[in-house]
Amino acid sequence: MKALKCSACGGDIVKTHRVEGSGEDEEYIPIARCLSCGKEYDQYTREYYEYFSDIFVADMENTVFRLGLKGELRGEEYEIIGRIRYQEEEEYEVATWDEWLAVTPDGVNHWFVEEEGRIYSYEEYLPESIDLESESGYLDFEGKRVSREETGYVARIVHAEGELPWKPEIGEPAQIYEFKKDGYNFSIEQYEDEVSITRGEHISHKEIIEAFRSEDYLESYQNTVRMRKRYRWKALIYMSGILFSLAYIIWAISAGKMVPDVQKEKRVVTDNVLKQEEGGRAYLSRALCGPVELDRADALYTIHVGVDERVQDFHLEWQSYRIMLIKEERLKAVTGTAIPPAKLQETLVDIDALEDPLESFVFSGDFWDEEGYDSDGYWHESDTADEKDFVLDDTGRYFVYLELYSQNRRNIDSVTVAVEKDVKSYRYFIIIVIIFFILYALNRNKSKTYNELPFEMSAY
Amino acid sequence: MPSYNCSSCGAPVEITNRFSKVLVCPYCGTHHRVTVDGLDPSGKHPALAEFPSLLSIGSRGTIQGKPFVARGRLRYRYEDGFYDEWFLICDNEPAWFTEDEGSYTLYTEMIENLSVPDNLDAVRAGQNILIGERKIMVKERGAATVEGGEGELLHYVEPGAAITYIDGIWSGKRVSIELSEEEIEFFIGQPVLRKDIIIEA
Repeated sequence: MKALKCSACGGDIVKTHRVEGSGEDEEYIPIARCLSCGKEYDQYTREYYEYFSDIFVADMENTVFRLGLKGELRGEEYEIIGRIRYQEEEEYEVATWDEWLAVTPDGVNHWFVEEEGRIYSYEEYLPESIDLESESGYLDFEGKRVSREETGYVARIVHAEGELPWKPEIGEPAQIYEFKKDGYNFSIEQYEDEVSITRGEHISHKEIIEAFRSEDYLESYQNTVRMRKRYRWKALIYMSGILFSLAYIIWAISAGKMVPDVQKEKRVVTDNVLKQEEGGRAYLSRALCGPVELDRADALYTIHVGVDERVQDFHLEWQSYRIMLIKEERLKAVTGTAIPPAKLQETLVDIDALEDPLESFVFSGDFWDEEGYDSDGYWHESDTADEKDFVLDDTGRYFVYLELYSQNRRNIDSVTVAVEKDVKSYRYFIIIVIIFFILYALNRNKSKTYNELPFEMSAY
Repeated sequence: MPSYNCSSCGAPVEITNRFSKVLVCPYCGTHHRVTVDGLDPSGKHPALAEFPSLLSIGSRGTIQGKPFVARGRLRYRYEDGFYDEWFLICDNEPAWFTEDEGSYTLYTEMIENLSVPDNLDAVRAGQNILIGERKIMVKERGAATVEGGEGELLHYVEPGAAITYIDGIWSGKRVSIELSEEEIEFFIGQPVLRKDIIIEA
């Protein structure tokens, strides 16, 4: 192995890093440094590409081409005679592509560019008009203003082999502009002494393999294409399942109908009575709403409860709620048909002690509003709404009993209760969507990456 | 057309074209300037080495459907090798045909006595230059040496002479400018595909 020498003083070169930035933005930039004079060579120097040449040529076999290949492509015979590999200067990680020189029997040159699994065919182009010295941010190309910033980059030659029309130097820079116009790809390469303008188009691996490598790779190519198509179909099927499930979920969400007038008739049984207990104190309120007709048996309902801040603000406090659905006839059996207030209160106070439960459904929870400080600064969170699904065994008329324990005195009308019927359950469809999405993503990835060939092929 | 004898070897030589200004003896390689008084020898130079070329002196055929005959060749040596310029009579008019790196160009417009920028020999690739009313983008600039010639040539260049060549693009056409100590030559041409060149057997 030949020792690397500094171009300035001849001293030994060592490959190391330079740290740029700090904290989360810290980056380790590879450089070469002379042990004698300390001179550093980074990606903006010619010598860097000689010192680090080994990393840029590590995957030289990852290509469909090789020198000496002969074949007929689109009616023209070609022989691959040369290769130049480039690296994008701004990228200190490997970002290379190859340009293969092919020559026809008449000696006409043609370039095949292989980059990130795609192949392009390029030939020389003479534009009707071109101005590389127009206003600083743009160049003019046949009436098209091409942004230098958006289309330009610097490439460095990192390897050359075979027969080439000029002698490339390792590390030689070229300013390149790439853009599309009229369905073609255009490339302007500007070196110190020459400007090269080429026009190209994407060419499929199928054509290249059939022209040059049919004996070696045609079968593997066909298998790869077949399997990718199969994965694509699977991905489409899973996507269809996702779309169907999402459509069902959307329909299910909107399928429910609100039971009207749940709180229209409200009897306030207890209003902010202060209760002192071991854990603290709270204001107790009770109300009985309804009755309302719930006419779907063995069907899904949803009860919604929440704080209405239009009635009263809810700020830095808590409130516990308990909601019960009590069948009208069962309540009247206990209190009497008229449901006198005193008897109602007595019944509701002792509702938990009744031998036979009065309620058909019970649902409890908390509303809260909090704030504080942590390592990220001030935070404020609240939870002032809730809902629960339930199924009723019996249809009929039901009262909605609301019991509230509040930190502060609160208007009982500030808590809203609503009942939704004809609700469609979509919970399992959400699980299906998640599972199908994972399967879709896996198959879609496979449809792009499955490969029996020894080189990258991103499009075929 | 008049016939002469080579001033060096005495072999009969014939000027076949009224545009020719140089005649290279096919036997001994002596370059002659063509003057109103006859042939004026400028010196003997080695014959050009054999180098694969589409044409040869006397080749006939058509280029883009136009009949041509190849009358002479000038060879230039530059950093990366050689390139040839062929002097043709194409469609009864003088023309230059070049082959370089597998691409062919037919220059049919030759303009003399043009006013050119003073710093023409210092232009860089990618720069625009104004020649007459033509805004030309410089595609390539380099230095070459005249290696030699053969046949009949449109203009005289001493073998060994250094020239600066500038290849450019103007209005979808190729432009070739050659600067030597004595003159500036300006050619405008079109690329030619190999399939458009038919050479008679």
